[in-house]
Amino acid sequence: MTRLSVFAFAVVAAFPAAAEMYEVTMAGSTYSPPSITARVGDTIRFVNDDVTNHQVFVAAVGYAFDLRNQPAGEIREMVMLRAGNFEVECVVHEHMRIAVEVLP
Amino acid sequence: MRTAVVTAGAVLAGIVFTGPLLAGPDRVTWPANFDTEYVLYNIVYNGQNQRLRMLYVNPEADAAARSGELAPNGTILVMVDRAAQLDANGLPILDENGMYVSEGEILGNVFVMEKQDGWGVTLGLDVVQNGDWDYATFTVDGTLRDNPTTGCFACHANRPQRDFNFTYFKTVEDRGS
Repeated sequence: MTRLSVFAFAVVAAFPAAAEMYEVTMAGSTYSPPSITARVGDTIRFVNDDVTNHQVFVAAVGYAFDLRNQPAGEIREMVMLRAGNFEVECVVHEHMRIAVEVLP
Repeated sequence: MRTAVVTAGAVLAGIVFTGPLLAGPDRVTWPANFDTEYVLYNIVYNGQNQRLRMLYVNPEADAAARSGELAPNGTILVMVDRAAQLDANGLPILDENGMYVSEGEILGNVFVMEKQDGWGVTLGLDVVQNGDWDYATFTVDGTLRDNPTTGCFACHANRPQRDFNFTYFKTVEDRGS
């Protein structure tokens, strides 16, 4: 069963007009697409369409977030809060990466 | 001659058995006053519970750390949770430097990982070795908790290319010093 985090619902209220949603999938323990260019206020939706658990994580100072253990079938989201560049990782699978650029 | 052999044997036995007996959380340092005397090197927002993971390193180790290199002997990393300050929409507030803003007291335990030369070799625990790192969980007043650390070892084993830690190696690498 798909479950959205409470955090996800804040997105709509915070950026009702211009915000975009970018979807990332995880099948085969691979993030797709491999890169995203977004703007501050946009949301990245992480869909675990894989058969194993993943854990979305960013380690870069100033951008760091952790969406915790995400079982297969679950969806997690994160709003882009500030401009810059960082890499999204998976805690469990070191090779899984997405390059994210957030424009002002 | 026989006395010497017996003595040598006893010393050797002591060396062999002392390592495993000393392994584990008991040998990890309680980082007293970490929140005022250590370096706050990163803050991670937990999007699931709206908490902040505050990450500290002892200043001596931080001064000696070099980009792309393993953390120096004696490195102590500390992790605690605090509540994130949220705006009216439930999003974390950032300060003028773009960092998350915490509020309130430490929530839960104080998690520590420490690195000392030889600890990996003498570990003696049924865990995946994480270099020379060992782990411990303390209460906020410094009392060692009897928590198993196998989960710490298992999770940190996912970052062998970063000296078995998720944030500190990268922080040093990113700052380029």
